Amino acid sequence: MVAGSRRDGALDEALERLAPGQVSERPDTPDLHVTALRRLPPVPAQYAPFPDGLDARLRRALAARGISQLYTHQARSIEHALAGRNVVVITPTASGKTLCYNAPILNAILRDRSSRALYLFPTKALAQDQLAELQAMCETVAAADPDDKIGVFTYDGDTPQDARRAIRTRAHLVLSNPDMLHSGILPHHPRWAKLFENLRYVVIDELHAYRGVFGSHLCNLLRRLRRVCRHYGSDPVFLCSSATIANPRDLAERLTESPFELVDESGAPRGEKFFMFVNPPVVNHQLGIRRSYLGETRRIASEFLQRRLQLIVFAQSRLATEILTTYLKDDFAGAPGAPEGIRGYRGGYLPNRRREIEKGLRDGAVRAVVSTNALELGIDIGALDVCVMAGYPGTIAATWQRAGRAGRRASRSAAVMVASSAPLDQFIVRNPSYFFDASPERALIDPDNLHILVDHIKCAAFELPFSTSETFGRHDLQQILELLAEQGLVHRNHPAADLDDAPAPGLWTWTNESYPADAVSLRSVSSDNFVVVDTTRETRVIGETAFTSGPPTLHPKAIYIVEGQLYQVERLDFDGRKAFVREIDCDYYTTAISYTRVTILDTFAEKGSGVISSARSVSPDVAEMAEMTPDPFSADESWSSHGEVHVVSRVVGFKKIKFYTNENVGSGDLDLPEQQMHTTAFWVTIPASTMARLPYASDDRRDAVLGIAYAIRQMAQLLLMCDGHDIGISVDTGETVAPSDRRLPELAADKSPRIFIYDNYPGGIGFSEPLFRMDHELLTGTRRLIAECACESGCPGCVGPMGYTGAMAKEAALRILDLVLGAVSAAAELEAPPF
Amino acid sequence: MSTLADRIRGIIRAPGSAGRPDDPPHQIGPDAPGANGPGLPFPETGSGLDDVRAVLGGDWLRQYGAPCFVVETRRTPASSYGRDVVGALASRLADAAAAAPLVARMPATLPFVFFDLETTGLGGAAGTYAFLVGCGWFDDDGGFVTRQYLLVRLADERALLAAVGGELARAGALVSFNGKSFDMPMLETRYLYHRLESAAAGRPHLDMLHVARRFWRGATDLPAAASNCSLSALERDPLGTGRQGDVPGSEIPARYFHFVRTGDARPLRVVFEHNRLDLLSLAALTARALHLVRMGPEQVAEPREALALGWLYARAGDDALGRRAYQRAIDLSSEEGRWAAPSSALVRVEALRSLALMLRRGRAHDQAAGCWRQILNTRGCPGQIAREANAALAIHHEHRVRDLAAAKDFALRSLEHGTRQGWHDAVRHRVARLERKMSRFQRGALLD
Repeated sequence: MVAGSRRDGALDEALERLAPGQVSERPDTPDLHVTALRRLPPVPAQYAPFPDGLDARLRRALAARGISQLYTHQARSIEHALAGRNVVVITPTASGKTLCYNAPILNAILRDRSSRALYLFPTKALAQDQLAELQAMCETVAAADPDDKIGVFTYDGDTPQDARRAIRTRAHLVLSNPDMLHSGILPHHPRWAKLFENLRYVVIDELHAYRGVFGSHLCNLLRRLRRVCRHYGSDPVFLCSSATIANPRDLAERLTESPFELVDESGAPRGEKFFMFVNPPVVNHQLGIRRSYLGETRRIASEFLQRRLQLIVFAQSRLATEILTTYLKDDFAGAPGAPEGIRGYRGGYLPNRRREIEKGLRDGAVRAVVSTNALELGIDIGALDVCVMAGYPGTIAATWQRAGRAGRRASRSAAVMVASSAPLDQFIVRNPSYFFDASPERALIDPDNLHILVDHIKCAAFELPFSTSETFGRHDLQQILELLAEQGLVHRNHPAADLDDAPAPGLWTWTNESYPADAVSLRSVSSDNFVVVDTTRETRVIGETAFTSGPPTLHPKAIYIVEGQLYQVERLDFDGRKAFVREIDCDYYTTAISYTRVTILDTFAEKGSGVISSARSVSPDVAEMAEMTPDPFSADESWSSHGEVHVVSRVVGFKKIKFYTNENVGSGDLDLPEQQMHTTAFWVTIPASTMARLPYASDDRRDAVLGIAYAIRQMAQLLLMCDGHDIGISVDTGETVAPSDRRLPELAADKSPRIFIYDNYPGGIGFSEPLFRMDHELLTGTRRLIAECACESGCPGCVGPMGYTGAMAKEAALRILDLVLGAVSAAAELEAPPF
Repeated sequence: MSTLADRIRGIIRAPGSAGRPDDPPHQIGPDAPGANGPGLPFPETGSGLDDVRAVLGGDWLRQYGAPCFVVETRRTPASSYGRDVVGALASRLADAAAAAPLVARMPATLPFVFFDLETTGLGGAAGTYAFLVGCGWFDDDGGFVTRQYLLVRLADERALLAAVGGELARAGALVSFNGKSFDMPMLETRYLYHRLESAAAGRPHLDMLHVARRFWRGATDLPAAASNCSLSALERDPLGTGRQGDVPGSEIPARYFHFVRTGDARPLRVVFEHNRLDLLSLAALTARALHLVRMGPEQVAEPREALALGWLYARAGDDALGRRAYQRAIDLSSEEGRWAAPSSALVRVEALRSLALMLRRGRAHDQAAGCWRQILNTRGCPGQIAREANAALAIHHEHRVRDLAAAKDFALRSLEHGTRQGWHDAVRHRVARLERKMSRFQRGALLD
């Protein structure tokens, strides 16, 4: 414990340097440099005895590996698993989650040698990481009796062809990933007959990673998996682990379409921890410009490094990772020839280098690592002293997960979040209680997105014929099969009997030469994409981009970045789906200016005046309250709606942005084809009558709506736990002519402007309905984001940078939001039961 | 506002969508090239199950206890095949049957059952079916019988597999063309799918593809051997026959899918004929190859055939016969009139190389070195083999003859043919070591 107390002292010193004064009971101070410093008290371990059903051989093996008792969450998970109940366990980092599923699985194999289990990890690297631990565990089990030898293998894209056959027959435990299950295992299920006949458990590790498109695909993949299991007569139990999210049980049940037990109280001990929020000071009040958050991160990391504390720094991009690594290496250059104590870590590094860094972190040779989110998932790097996050990771769940990388059981640790000037960062850093006291985000999926569903129905029909009474998802499977039959992809067999046998039941069989899984990528809706071709020297493909993000990132003259190397797009072959690029040395990057038009196709639900005006005669209370607001109900329009929309978008121009200073140093016009999609959207409508009554000029009103749109996007992203790319925003000002590249749209006086937040995937991915449900939260948050911003009249942290909107934008936006909020909450109260 | 059905149609047809149909099914059929049906337009008739019998000339039978649609045909012993008649093929095969174990590398006896699948796609994934299983054999009178099982409905597969299992189980040996890599794994997958015991598993199996390639398409190790070794190429040479209006393999799945969807079996006629011809040619090829094996190395007259025999013996572990066959290939290719032909040079080099490797395995190092030297003396020797020979001689002179100067000389000469960096590094390493040894030796000599 000497080392522990040495570290505790060093940590106290560093914290004192960064935030002088009393640590405990410190109130939040949104306007100061350190906006929050919270102390999370130590938590002692809670133990439970081994469940009765556990085989004595397994207990002996656990004891041999130093495990003589279980944490309470492990014991409860194991009990559920042994009883054949699906279970999802919520575990902080390093709380022994793997034992929760390894114990029941090894137990099942020891009891019945034919038992099999399939582990699914979201990435190949995580499977590799778990392989060593599982193999060691199995060797301990087999040490007592060689007959108890248990085969553990990874099966992924890297598995050599000649090893695959052996794995198919010999592996008790197969460690794989959804992509491999999708294209490598399920379509070849007869070769895996032994696995599927005896499949007792399916492990889904890092369940929270399966949200949005990936989660929607996984749900369909599991539908296929269960069909194949039924064919072979097995019915596996699902064992899942997840980081903290708001709806783990719900997500598990949606993904597997089966009931789940939830184990969410960790029995693992935790040392005392400090969590600090830092907002770089404002250097230009008028423009709302703050000191560079990367510089601030460097300074803070140095305080800890100087005191010989082991450190992980998370950066938001590969570029930021490389920059911070360079800074810290410069600051802490060791003696020449000494092993490098400061390392970078990100996707794109070779596996060997990654393993070396991970090992260095575990044994202390690496003093600090700067990483992208690549180290956020459960790669084993041991526990460190301090975690510094350069920029808000985007979600509460990810922030806690990254913070969990620091935290030893017996000594103090600290996590520091340094906010960038992005609106989301500013909102969080100035509202610490939103982070510390609110529940984390919900993970959302929409497995019945038609694009995704139809693709998986094809794959499923290839794997096993569908019966004429079967179902698959929410939509009418038989109808979809008939439509696939129209295209000759499947066929319903003739119902004739030919000899004296009973006629075979009606079956839909795959009648196409193609291999449908090859055309489906689990990480996107459509597998259509653009490839990036470097023509600098010999012609070679250096990257690819999803179809929808092709035009905004690969338009002519766009700067395309791969591992720090800059390329300029010389030509975009839209039809051939190719962008030809050439290396370039420049000091700017580009952002596209897109014009998007959204048309409503179908409104699923709406709230607003319709409800309220009809209620007026019934409920005097509501009528009274409605009159308190400046009568927004005169127009017969809804305020908040969701439904199906048609989105047409076109990239009309681009801006050149200088690195580091983010100055706008040029622009250009572009003429690219339109992209269209059907998707779902949530939208807010501000009645024209309300707009007309605002005491502002027409331009200011327009700026206010644009400003709200700018801010609401951030809040939507926050509430939906999604990437910025997952949603799109569009403002319908009622203007009929498409605006050109850099001109702002005019506001038509007699039209009610609408702000659309649409799912940026064909068919929608399930964000719109939850946004509709959370509309009050969304609008309140947006209002707070704008109101609490310290700038005078708009900045990048609220309604957008100066120049994007005018001087009155901030004030007018707040006014409009008050009106909208009044109407929305009135509607919400009406809908809620009175008692 | 589009209906749900229209939206789904749009999704199915979208670019990048899985399994998007590229060709409408009616593009194949009797009008397509190679079809032997009447030149009629293609009516989308309804239930054509009754027509199947008439169109394909088969019947529903209960085979090995399972109801199946089977087309059975017989070629009479007197019917001609190339320069031969079917009856002659039958008796040649019967005479040479004793050579089968050498090819199968396990006990293999008559009757031989030749088999060949037509499938709905490549690769043995779950949604790929073997829709036509063709089996053929010679009957006691020297006629060639084929029995072809058709999967009329995909749902009838289990019965088909049961019947095919019975058919294969009565074989003393199974014979295929590339069956070890394709047909057999494909069938195994289907048995696994239905969780049936595979009747063919573990049975003696002669896969004639590799044998035929060795006998008639040169040795694969040589770059020149990237030659066509399809069954139809082998029919022309050495079998001396050929076919007209054969259906391209790529068209076969679409023809079957057309039948499944419409019940119209006419496009399948050419597929059945194609499958029957494949079986007969396979039988003829097997008879010829086994006959050569049966005759032994001293009787063959073509250098390439002697080389192929050497490969077969070596593969079966019979080095004594292998040496004789390789020597025969070397002698034949060195004969007057053959020596100059480039193809003879390749056979000679390959035979010398195979012999050298075999001798080295048997620790006959000096003889092996002799072979390597002969390779270097053969004009037209491919660079990579010259490099291998020089490297082998460098090792031989360094470690056995202990002539360091000669070893260094061979090592440096091996560089003339290698272009890869790794090879260069390895050679430089060897040369450096040789030079160290040489200087040590010289110092030692001076001290004496």
